[in-house]
Amino acid sequence: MSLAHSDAPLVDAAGGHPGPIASFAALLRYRELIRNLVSKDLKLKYRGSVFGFLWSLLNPLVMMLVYTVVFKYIMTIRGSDFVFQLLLGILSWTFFASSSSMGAGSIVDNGGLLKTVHFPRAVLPISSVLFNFAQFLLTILVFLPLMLTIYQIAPTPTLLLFPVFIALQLMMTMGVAMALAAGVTFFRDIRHLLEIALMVLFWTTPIIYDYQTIPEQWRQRVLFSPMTPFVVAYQQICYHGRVPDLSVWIVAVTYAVVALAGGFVLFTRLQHEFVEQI
Amino acid sequence: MAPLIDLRNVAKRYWLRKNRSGDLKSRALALFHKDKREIHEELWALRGVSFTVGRGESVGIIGRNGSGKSTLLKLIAGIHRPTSGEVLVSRGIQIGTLIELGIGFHLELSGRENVRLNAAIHGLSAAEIDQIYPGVVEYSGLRDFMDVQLKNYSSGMHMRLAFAVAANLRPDVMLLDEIFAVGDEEFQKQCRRTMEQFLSEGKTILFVSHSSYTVREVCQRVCMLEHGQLLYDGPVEEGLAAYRQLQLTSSTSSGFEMPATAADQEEEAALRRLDFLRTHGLASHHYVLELRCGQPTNTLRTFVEPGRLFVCTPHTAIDLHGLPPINVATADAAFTGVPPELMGPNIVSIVRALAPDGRFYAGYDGRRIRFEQLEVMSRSAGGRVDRIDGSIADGQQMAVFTRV
Repeated sequence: MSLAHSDAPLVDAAGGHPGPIASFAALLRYRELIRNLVSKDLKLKYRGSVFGFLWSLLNPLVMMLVYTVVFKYIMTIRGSDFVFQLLLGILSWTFFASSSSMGAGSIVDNGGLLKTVHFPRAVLPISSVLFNFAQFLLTILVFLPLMLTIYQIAPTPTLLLFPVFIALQLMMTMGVAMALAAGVTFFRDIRHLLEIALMVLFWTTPIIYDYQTIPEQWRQRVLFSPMTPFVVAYQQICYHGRVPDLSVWIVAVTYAVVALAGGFVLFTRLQHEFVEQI
Repeated sequence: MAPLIDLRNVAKRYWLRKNRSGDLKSRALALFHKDKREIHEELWALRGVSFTVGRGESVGIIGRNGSGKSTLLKLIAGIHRPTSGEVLVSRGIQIGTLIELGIGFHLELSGRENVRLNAAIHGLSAAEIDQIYPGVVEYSGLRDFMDVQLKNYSSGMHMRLAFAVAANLRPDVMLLDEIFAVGDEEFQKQCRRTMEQFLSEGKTILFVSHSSYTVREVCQRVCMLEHGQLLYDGPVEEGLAAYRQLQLTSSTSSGFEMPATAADQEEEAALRRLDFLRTHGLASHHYVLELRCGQPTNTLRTFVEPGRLFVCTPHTAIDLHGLPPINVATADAAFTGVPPELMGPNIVSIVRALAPDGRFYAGYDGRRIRFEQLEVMSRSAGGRVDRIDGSIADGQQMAVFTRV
């Protein structure tokens, strides 16, 4: 049989080595899968429980109460408004940390699927991140108005910058999750390393302490911790009601763009080798 | 015919890692213990495989376990990449894979949710899923269970739902792996019907199977793999014969594979018998008389009921009745020695095979029939294609024939 009879040109069955743009287009075609995977995880998380999604809200609510009691009345080192900042930090940190660990395992934990169906592999870490993002967003939507009310902070127009930084954090988290997912496929140790790294990063991010009170020579260093620019931006936007510092902008945008682009390129370069590493 | 799939000198190497454990402890131990070292051993799952598949073809891929059949499907599906050579597919065609049933199904989700998820895994958009959904429900026959969690399904229902999704994905090429190994009779029948319908729509099937019966039923062409090489590519009957030959020769030589146990063979024979009876509209109570020709390994079976007589090898079914050019020889008085307990109420005569001159005969109703005179139709080719080769030398099996 000669090619001359072919009614369509023949192409590589595995899709060759597509560039980032082709890979992105493939991802777009699979957005229904991403949507389904996210809603599957959300359903599976709360199915069978009576309170369902309310559990996601109860957790931060209790956290808020406990922190208020501890910091204000027991340790007496902080005013209750600090809890607002603390909560912003914790919620966004939780989004980052759970996305990272879930995304890191998203390829190796889905070996069966990878070995039997051909689909853009990036779907898996991306849906892990979006699953956590959905929960983060819903919690924020409930708590932000609640906290603004409790602490009697008048909403300012700068609040409009809040979604911008959330989007930047989402970009960075996706990039990190993709890079980790690819990395773990080749070196399982990364998963354990990640646990330790997250613990260290939690303390290098101004969540428990205030960014403004860090000694000058340390503040610069803390700013470069991956989650710092986002947490600081949230606090400055929501609590202080001002536009984030220029340095915060620069670091946040750089991290978001570099992580997303780097993670995606790394992932798509390596993805055809995943199936043989599982 | 336009090639849809084109494999050019394809090879696939896997690295088998023995003692694989990258951790420090075992690496340190490996410095002192030779046998604890990680061994990288290469395994060529496929070597030098070239073939093309045209639109509308149905190709059976046969071969023993580990011969590279599944790897071949995974290369075409784009799950694996070839180590060398090219695996090309026509641009824009949809390739559906049914390599394992129910992959990506979640027990906690309902039937409906699983259908949507599974279809999405295969790349369907929301609109396309909405479109096929009613068909999936219809096909599965599980309308009342769509809102039930999958964990409450029986394994049979689970399978039906998975296949219903696969059957309704409507790809241009369907890659199937061993799905007939599971499921009840009804399910298997439905699978075969779907495949036939699929082919009648001009679509293409690549089908990995160990069942020569299903291969014959569905495929027009057979590719046989052995140790990763394509040993045969051609018509079904010759391919199946070559496969059997391969199995026979390899079972005597020092096998690379575990030989099937006696229990397996018995079960297989029983299944084949039932399969045969079913396809000929017989019930399980119909009488089966086993006849031996030449060496005791060469077993032929004869099925008898009033007005009908069948003779078959383990893979053959010939209805002697109704095929006109039967040369009926004189009754052979030597037809004796059949134990009376084998003669059920349906038996109109004693049937026996003889091979005195290297030819195969059977007696029916007091007459002796020489098989070489039979015209046989091949089912898979859908017409009269072959003259039976009635001669069976000792220890040989007859070529495969089926009745239309």
